[in-house]
Amino acid sequence: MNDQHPFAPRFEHAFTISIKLSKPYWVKPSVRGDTRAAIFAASGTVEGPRLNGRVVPMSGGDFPLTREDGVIDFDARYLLEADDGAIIYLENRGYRWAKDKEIAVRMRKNEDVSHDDYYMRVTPRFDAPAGPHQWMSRHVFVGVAEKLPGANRIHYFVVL
Amino acid sequence: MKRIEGREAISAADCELEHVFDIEVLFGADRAIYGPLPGGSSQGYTPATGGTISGPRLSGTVVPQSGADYATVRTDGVIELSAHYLLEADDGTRIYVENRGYLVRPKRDEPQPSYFRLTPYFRVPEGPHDWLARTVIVGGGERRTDPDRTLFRYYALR
Repeated sequence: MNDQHPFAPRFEHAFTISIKLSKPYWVKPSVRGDTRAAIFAASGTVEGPRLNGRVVPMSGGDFPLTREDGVIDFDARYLLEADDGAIIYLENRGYRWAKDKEIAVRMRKNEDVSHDDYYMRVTPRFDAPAGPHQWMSRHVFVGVAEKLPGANRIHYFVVL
Repeated sequence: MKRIEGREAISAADCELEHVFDIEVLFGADRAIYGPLPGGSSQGYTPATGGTISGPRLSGTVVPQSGADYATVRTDGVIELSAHYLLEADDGTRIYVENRGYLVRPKRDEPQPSYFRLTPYFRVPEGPHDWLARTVIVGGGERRTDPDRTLFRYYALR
């Protein structure tokens, strides 16, 4: 509907990060009435046209809030190591929610569901060192994520 | 950007954008840059004195004097935006917005920044506007003058 709009941003696939997650810890209920979780990036890979490398194992994780309305509000920080050895800090915000209650129950049990059964989108920010990766600290990105049992895979697109 | 209108998404990586609203923010004359800070960057201060919201999913106003952009002005010509202010929808709902992104200064003789993109996050009460607190949104900016203002155009990532 907005393809022709002169302001419409364009995307380009930059890389995909696949992560195996540790067991989760929970703070529930938090003092606000929602639930704070902590889950760590045990290992992972970065693959794509603009960046290749790995997730530095146990360099950080996600500390999401699970709200009473069932929306998970992400707050993740961890490190990437590019193939050239550069260390890149990632922080990620975004949302995950199931499209109906039955799917929400299955996702809570860590069962496999179809990617179109839920919404999982993120906006990362990167602290990249000066050099070949510094473009990552001057572009906005969006990530479209897949939740897999004990893992996730996030496809990152640079907003041009 | 893949468009999925008229067909089923075939991959989890498929996504599409929907234009949801525009916000035109007016800026105060006391906007300033202070510094340098330790490390060489500077602190920006750009107060929002008011503005209007219009579009298919939200209409209203920017609450006058409700906040500012507290940007980090880097030495490499990139401005890291970090704006906080309040919106008021036409039904009276107040909405907190936190807007982060990058503005890269214009190239020589160009009127507009060479890059100006943002990802806003909202805090909103339960009700007709609560989709703002569970949807990832991206926006683009256009600088306008006389009066000093910026048009932000926002798209929901579907």
